Amino acid sequence: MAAPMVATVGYFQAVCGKQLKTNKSKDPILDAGNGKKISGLSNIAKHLLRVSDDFKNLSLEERIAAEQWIEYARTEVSTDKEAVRMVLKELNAYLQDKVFFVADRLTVADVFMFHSLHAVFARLTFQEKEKHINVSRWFSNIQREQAVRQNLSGVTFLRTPVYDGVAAH
Amino acid sequence: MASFISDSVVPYLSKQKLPVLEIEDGKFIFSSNSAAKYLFLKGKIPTEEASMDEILSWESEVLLPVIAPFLVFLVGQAKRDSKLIEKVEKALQFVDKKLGASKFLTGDTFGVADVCVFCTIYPLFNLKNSSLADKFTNLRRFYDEVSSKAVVQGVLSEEWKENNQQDAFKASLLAQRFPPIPGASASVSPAAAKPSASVSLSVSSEDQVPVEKVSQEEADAALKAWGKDPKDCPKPRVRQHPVLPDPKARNIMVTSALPYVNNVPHLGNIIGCVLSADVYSRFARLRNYNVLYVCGTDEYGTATETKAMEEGVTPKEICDKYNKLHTQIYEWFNIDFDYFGRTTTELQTEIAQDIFWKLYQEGYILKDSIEQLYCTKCNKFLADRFVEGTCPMCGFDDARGDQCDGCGKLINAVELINPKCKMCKSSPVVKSTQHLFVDLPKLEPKLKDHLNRVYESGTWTNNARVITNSWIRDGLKPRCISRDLKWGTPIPLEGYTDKVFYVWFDAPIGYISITANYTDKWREWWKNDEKVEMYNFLGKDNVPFHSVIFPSCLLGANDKYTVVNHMIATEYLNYEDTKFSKSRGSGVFGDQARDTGIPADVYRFYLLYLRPESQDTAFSWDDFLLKNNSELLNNLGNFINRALMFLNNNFAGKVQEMQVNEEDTQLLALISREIQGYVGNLEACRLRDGIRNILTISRLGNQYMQNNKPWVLAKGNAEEKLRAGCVVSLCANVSCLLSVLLQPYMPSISATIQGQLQAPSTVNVITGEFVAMLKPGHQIGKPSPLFQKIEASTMADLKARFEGKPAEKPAPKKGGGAPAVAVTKASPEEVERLTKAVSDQGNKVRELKTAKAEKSIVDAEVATLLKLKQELAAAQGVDPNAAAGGKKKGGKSGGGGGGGGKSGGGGGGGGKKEKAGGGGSGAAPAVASPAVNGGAGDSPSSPEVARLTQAVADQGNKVRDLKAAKAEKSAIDTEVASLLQLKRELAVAQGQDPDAAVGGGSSKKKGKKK
Repeated sequence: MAAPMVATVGYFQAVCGKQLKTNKSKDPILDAGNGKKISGLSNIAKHLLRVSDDFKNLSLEERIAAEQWIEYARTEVSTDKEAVRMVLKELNAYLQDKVFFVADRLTVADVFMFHSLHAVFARLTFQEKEKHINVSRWFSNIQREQAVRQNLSGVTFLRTPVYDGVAAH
Repeated sequence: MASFISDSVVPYLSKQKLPVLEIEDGKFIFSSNSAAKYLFLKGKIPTEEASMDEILSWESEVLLPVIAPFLVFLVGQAKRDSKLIEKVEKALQFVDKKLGASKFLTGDTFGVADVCVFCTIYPLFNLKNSSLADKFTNLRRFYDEVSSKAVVQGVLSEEWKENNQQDAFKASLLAQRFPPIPGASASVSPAAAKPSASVSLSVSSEDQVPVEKVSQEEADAALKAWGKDPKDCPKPRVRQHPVLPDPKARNIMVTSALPYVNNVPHLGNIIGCVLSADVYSRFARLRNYNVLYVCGTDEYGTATETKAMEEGVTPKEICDKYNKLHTQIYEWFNIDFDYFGRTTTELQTEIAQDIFWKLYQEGYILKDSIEQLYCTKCNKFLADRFVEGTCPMCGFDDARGDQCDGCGKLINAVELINPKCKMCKSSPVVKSTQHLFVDLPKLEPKLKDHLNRVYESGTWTNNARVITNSWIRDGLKPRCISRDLKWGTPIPLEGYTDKVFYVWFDAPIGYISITANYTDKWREWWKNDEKVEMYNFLGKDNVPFHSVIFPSCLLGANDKYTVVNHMIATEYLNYEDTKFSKSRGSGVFGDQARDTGIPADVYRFYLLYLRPESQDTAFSWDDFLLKNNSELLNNLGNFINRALMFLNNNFAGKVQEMQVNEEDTQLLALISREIQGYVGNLEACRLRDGIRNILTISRLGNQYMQNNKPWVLAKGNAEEKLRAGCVVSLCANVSCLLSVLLQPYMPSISATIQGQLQAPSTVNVITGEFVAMLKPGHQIGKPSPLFQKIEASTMADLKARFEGKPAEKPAPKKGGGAPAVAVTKASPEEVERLTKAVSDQGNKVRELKTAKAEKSIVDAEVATLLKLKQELAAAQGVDPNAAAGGKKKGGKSGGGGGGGGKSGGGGGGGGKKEKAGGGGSGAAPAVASPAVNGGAGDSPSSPEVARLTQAVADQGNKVRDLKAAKAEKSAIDTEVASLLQLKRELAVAQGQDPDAAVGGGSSKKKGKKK
């Protein structure tokens, strides 16, 4: 299992208090009770958004918004250079006036996005992080939560903008 | 479907997704699946979400990523790609199978999932050459069923029937964004075919300099300067040792904080003072100021004495050894001191004693007695660092006389409980002893006067001002300047001759004595406050000594001493995500930089590029690589090399006639602007910004080359050839300018460029103007590349090499034999480390099991886990075999602390032990080892057992209360983990198998893990 997936599974287990299993194609499976099994990371995430006490106060609008960011994390974030460039640009624009992705508090959408972006951020230079300052701020905030960060390594951010002079000259 | 427009709908998306649902002002749902689901839920159409989600996720994560490129390929190039077809078919099998079992995707009623999937597969049934869907009979039935619905018909007729299907579809397809997928057409980049190893996005060097407007005045001035005769330009000042103040010049004395002798300086130390001071003094020389730059090693003090004692040599020998090391390091980094000396010289004694006497005569020295620890066995008063004992604040039993490592608080040595002499371990007695103090309160008015004057006229970094002001605001107190040591400058006053000056009275005087060792006319620099300006470069931790104590002493001596005028303090440079640490081996130290194979100038460049000017910054290898490859190689190096190569190959290396046109004038004006920015920045010691000016000039040069394309012009007619000659000759002159501006930062590279240009040494003056120094007919030398690319693999190696390790000693390895268990207990750090390792490894094993990994892999990891557990047990002084064996029996419940974390919280008492548990590392039966060790402590009445029994009971109540109060699940889980942890600790304290102890709760535990 890749590290980000392990992290996501770890987080899910913490939220639902249950161990996840995997099926033969290595997808994680959650036993939702009543013989119902939920398979796949994004489906488990959406399930938790519905049933977990942690998220019970979300409005329908917020829940759907969270779901779409989960979908975004699953479909847009990749290792492709161009895709990464666009994703960072978009998220940076989106997060300009936000602390979390939806509902002004931590939801599965943040966690999912965080795990998906971890490998990307681990390789960004300070200059690139500074260029995407909003998404960097969000990332740096999210990673402080140990339950969210799980096994993933910490990513360093500079408190000082070092490169802000570059564009000016 | 909404109409296909390319306008921005969702402001933050750079490539639009359509359709978009705006659920309220500014809130968008841009995922069509989420939007569809929302509408259904909003409309209270009964839906079973879990099975719906399953299909929707599948659609977005599996189906669309294969259908999209297939369609793009088919529509865009009218071709079918067999690989893509294979993938699409594989995906379709999944729905086909589903539709074999029920009428619709989520059962027998039509739902959201059906809408979304239908839309995605619709083109497969309607496009020419597709025909692919026909194989799937269930899918076909589903398609027919859905498309015959009236509501669907309605939509389709609007969008499709009226237009030519193919064209409409093509337009819509191209307006969509799709995830990057291998092997398709134009809209998908070829790079996407294989995931690239690095996602690093290169920035900056590609960024174009925005074209700026230049005023007529600027253009005229630039043109005038350009045309000046080099003969009329000022010649560089001759630097002749000894450099002495010149009444006709601006005389600047630059000091860099004296590095403490027995530390090897790391990159942070280097940028903090010596390198920064070097850049400034080189710049000041280029400005034709008369500059003296002195530095040296600070050699007196307790630390040297202790180290000498440890190594069994004299302090002098230690200093000689390290002074040499420092000298070599700075030489390698191209630090151009006028003199690099040391503080342990006769002149130091002479001058320090003289200043002391002057202060004494002026009435600024106070005598007072203080209580101090005296070792009757060693016959001496003990300096703070020579005493150890128990911390009066936290009870930590290994506190030093000046500071406690347990709680980090500063300690007054006489307050230590059970103090011990570090040398002989006997108990010292408190005795009162006479000490000397500088009367800073009395000197305060003089100091304030001076500071107010130099704040006004000089350059003081913000941190220097703030720190200084806060010292003064809090009120100055008399400061002790004597110490009971041998290794220092002796105090000449009768009654104190067995003492030495405190290093911070002494050290800054080193600047003076080092100058005196450089020239016997040192007074011309140091007693000449009207003609000499002093610049102090230092790290922020040194500010008060340079801005308050040292100036006060010099002012109090009333001897016309030159007192600081400018203070340039840096913040700290960190290393990657941590601090530089010699003991952990993390970070690059001066002597190691040379072995990395990266030239000193490149280090200089990067360190100055991220010089911690206003806040802390961090050295990062990845960033280093990026800066080298993008700025030095692709920008600066590329420009100069391209210009010179071209001049060499097309014009035999001869500078051509330069008939500057309007575009050239524009360039000259923009460059002049940067030069003025550069001069302003460096005069104000904004060294980081000066680099930006240089890089902007070479960026302008690159753009200019690119716009004029001399390589094309050179092949044209006579006029075009002339133009080509002008362009490259102008660029050669820009290169010459760059070599001068670069000199403070990268002296060797600067010399290399000037060598390639055969530039006369007279170019090395910075006037603030851009003059064509290389006139037509000037013959340049042979150009060659200036910089080398740094490979990512090299950086990865270096990163690994300097990553460092947590401070650790080799784990005590027991041969495996049971009899050898007569255990030696390891340090608490070691236990903590191993505890963490066991817990991490435990997690790893569980993850592998969860992931149903191959048995062989799991087994290997389990073996490692057992080994770690044995090591931990050994370190704790328990029988390692019992430890590992017991756990094994316990099976799944092993390594239980995995999530515990805050276990120490409930306990109270026992400083050091709590630290191990509270550190968050999890399972730490480490705590009770004294009780187990050697069996004698097994008695259940031990206080530790009593404490833990109580803690378990308390924690149990807490958990029950939380459950009763229906607290948040996560909160309960945390507390349960703590409870289990405590039980485990208790078991160990009682000498029982910890796993058996929590075994009863293990069924519970399985569900509650973290």
